[in-house]
Amino acid sequence: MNKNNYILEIKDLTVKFANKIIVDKFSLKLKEGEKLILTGHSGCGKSTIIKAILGFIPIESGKIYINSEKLTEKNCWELRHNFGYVSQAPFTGFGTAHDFLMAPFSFKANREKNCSLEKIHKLMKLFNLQNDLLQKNVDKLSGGEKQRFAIVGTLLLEKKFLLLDEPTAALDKRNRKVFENFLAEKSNLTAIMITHDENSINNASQIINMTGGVKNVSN
Amino acid sequence: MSATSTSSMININNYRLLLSLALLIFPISFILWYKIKTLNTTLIAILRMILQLSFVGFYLHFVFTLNNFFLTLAWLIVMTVVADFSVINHCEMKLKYFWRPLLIALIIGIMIPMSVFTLLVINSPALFEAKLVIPVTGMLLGNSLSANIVGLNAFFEQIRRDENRYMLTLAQGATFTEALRVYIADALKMALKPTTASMATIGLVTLPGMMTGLILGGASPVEAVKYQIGIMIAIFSATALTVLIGLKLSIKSSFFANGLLDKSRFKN
Repeated sequence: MNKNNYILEIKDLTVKFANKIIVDKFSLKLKEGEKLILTGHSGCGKSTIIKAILGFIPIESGKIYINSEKLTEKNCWELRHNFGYVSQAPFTGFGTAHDFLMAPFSFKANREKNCSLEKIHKLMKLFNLQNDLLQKNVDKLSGGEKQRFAIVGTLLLEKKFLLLDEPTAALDKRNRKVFENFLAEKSNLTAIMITHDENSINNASQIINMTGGVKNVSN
Repeated sequence: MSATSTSSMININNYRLLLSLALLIFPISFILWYKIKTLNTTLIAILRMILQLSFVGFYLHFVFTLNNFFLTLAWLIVMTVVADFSVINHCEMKLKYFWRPLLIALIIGIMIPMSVFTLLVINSPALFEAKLVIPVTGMLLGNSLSANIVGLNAFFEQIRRDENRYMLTLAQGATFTEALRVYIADALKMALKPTTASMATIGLVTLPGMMTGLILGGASPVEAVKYQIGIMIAIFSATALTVLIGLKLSIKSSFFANGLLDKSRFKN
């Protein structure tokens, strides 16, 4: 399947909203285990790229290949299974934090996966979350707690490719460092992370600054 | 159940009916006193109510007397199409995408409980007995109409408001059906709430329209209650059926193949 060794390849991606170009001929190639940082000012299309990879955004032109398979409206359902996604906005309406973490395991696609309480507690401990928070309603959690639960929820699904839309924006310095170290240590984990801090992943293989549509790729 | 006698019914003299307009002094004076900008709308609504009901009164008298299958069917079609357009209009949906799914939902969702109520419960010899089928369909349609407005609005508003949560669910591997399940359940809950509340308080807080009508028409309260229980269950069933079928069929007309809502199918 993976003929060219790239786990993700984007070729000349252009996205328009209401006749306004949001992403203009954006390209990137990513191999397994690589970590990419996407930076740039608000509204320059960073989140749009992640949503396009997940098949949520209609593409004006260009192509996206995931494991050498071209992403289309139809196969996006299958290809989404490759990714773990942490979205920018805090989640709401899931009941308790435990409900939020367990919800994906009721889906057919994840039923085979094992999600023990022990595993949940271990990840929560890593991100400095107290166990009693599990029974708290998600709407009552602080911004930082919500974001850490969102990260824990994604990691529980054990995906090898993470799409992270400003996952550390609401975290304090200590927890931000925990997450950054976690990513840096996982050498087999591929990740695209949107952040305003270019130094947030120590061993990032690529940094793309999208401001003004200029792509500044450095290794 | 015996036929109701009309001999004990108190007829309203036309001049006395005009006296009911005197009661309008309260709402109208409140509107004027507080300078609420709804005077024109209120007066037009009152006028429309009087004209529409007068027309329907004369028309139904004609339809009931003839008791013709095609004329009855034509009137049922008019009622259903008006309800269909009304739901679409109140939900800010674009007519060309939604008139068909919602019309199908109303037809199926009304036909089943209406047939059970008229043919099995009342044991009517014919389904299309005009003076039975028109008022019963009217009651089922009226309740289904408001339930569909509540249900469809709740569903599509929540999908829009929770777009990030919805996308996250899809990204976590949910199928289309799995991702929409919680929204459908919430919409159905909202849509059924008024009928459930009304069933819980019926008889204690309100004496419902059908029962009141039968009692005023000369039926005994015990007989009127039997009709009311039957119609309430039929209404609840019609509400659930029309809302669920309406939601399921509208979903087919309003989402992209990638699972996201096509906002261009709505007016706002």
